[in-house]
Amino acid sequence: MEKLPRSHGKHFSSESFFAKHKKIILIVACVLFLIFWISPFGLLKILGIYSNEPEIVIILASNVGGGVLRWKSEQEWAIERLSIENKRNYCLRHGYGLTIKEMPIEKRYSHEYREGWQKVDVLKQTMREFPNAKWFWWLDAETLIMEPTFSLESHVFSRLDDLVDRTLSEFNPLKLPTDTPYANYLDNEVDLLITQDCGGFNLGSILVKNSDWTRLLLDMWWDPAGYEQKHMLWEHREQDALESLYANEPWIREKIGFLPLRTINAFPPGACSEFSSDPRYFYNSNDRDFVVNMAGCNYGRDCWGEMQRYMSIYQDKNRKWYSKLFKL
Amino acid sequence: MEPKKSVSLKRRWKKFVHRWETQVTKMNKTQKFKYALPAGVFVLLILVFILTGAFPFKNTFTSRSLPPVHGLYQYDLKSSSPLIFPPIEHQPTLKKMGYKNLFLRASENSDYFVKTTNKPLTDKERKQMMNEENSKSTYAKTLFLDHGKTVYRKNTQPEVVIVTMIDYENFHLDTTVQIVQNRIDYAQKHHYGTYIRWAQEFIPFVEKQSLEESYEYMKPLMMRAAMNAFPKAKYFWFVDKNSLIMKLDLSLQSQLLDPKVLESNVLKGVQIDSNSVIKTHLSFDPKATIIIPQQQEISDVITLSLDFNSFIMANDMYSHSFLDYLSDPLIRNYKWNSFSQCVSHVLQWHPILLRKTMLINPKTIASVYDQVSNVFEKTSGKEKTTANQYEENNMLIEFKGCVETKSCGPLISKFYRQINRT
Repeated sequence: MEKLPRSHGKHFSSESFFAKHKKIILIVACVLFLIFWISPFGLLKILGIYSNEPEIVIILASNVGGGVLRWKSEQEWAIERLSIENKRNYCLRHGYGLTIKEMPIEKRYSHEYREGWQKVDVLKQTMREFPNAKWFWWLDAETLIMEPTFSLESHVFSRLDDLVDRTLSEFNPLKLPTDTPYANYLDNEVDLLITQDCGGFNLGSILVKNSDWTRLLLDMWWDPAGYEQKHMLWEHREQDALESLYANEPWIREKIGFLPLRTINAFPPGACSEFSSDPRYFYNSNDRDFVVNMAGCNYGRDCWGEMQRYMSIYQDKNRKWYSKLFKL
Repeated sequence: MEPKKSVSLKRRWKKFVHRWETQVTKMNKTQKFKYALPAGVFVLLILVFILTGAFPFKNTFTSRSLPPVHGLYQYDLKSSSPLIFPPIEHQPTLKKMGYKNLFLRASENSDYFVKTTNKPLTDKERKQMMNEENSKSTYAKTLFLDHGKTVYRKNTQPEVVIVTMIDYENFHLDTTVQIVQNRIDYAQKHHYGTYIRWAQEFIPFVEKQSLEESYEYMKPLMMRAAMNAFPKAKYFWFVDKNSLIMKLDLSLQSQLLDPKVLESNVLKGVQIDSNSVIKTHLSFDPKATIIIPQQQEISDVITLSLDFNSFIMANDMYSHSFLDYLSDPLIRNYKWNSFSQCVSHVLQWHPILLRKTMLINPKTIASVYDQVSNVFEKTSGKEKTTANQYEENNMLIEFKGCVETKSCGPLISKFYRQINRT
């Protein structure tokens, strides 16, 4: 009996609230609308819906080996321009961050013990730059994203259980040990995703999680005592160093996962050419391979030619009726 | 008011059910069917949802099974007690057998190895073997090789584990007994665990296969094995065989690990060792997990060195990284002057590990018995004193250099008798 009038009264009072504060509500609404008008993302940020700090950041190496030793050819500039454009479009589409890192020849890396160390330093620097990012995707300059509609979440991160090999039991070109003491895979998630080609680890396209483990790895990766002994043998520098760390140090092994080469790092026929009959390495347009990496095209192959070829495949695949209108 | 309300609710509910029942009974067959069909479909959908949730088809086919973690050996031997130590009475037998009989090797000059995939003996097999008269040495050998497989997997794990390597070649049986008893007495008082193993067990796992060359590099191997044996213990205190815990009633927490005590004993902004240009952090990081005493020796100049006769580590990523690095063959076999130089190198080149390391005042867990160093130094003719000599009421006494001067036995038994064991 008491309930009914009370609820009615409540209703009445809320009505009177609007009636009383009409003006204030109008002003607040106007201010909010103005903020939205001037800076829509600013409003979203204030409301905590949107943050302009991306969760995934692509690190694109550029001007590798550039500097004082020689002039860059026009073709090299063109390759770089295409590569950057390709990643920029991809990042815009998916809301990822993109940072382009110059890697010219520098004096501090010219000592024979230190020559491969730029990549680690760039990664460390980028992690400081984007402290709130979750993952970083390192891409070498001579790469093209061939399927811009694939997001990393749907293509890689949601399928980790199916894709990732952690013990090298499935593909092991270097014949590294597949079982080592103390490696605890079950209690550790993967923090570094890399691929292997015919010659072992390939760091041309890697996914790095922003974590304490990664920071420690970047700190431990280069060590003068180890590098001094091996710098004549380790042709691929930081790549070989990581192989050695993986084989001998379980705290590193337990956090690394291997993706099949073609998920994020497919090769053109020129690379790994001794294995041309093995479909595990090479880009296949029909299978919609995600990324093509013209790895090693500087060594006796035609980078510009390969770039053009894959660019034309890319355009064929991604042409839409409205593409011409927007010059996409 | 309350009971009345519930009664009225019940009545209403009854009314509702009754009306529903009469409606259903009034229906003819086709009406009933129309009613039951959507209900059936709904129930079916829910069933499918629950079943697919409980048995994800995708995973059973594609997900890889990851191998479980294991130590240096493939198989575990679960211990029922947190006090893990080898049968010490086998010391003379083991000494007699030598590496040749304990380990395998391909030929006379090649390296020793062990089969890490062998299963440990079951209790039954063990008892059987013990009763056989002629197999005394086989029995000792089997237990020696199985001892490294021992792990403690109970849910309540000790807070601290005392880690010690004992040596059947250079120590007398009596001395070994006193060392092990000392650790066990201390651990029992505070409900800690012990992890004691023969140093010789690690011979097949290093490249330079003798204790003289590799003993120091066995310490990281030993610590890593201890962490595998007690995966949830918090701290691991390595106490070397040339040391005795003198104050059994003082817990490690109260003596050192309490953050306040720790902070007052951390050496801030000091050189890592005498040859280091890098200094430790000026601030105290309570999250640091590697605790190493720094010794000072004063002769003409002050010499700083890291002391690995007594140090502490927590069981975390940073310790694992530190230990794995020291056990990496590339690092282990580098031409270091000393193990201490090797560790100092790690700390100087890897700032994150340095941040996670505390150098501490050695008075806390590493006071040195000076007579030994005097005896030791007399041979070289120089006078040298250690800044942190053992005094009564210190927690630990370290007979530095006693292995080299072969004086550990008498010193340990002399001080062992002074310990208040009640």
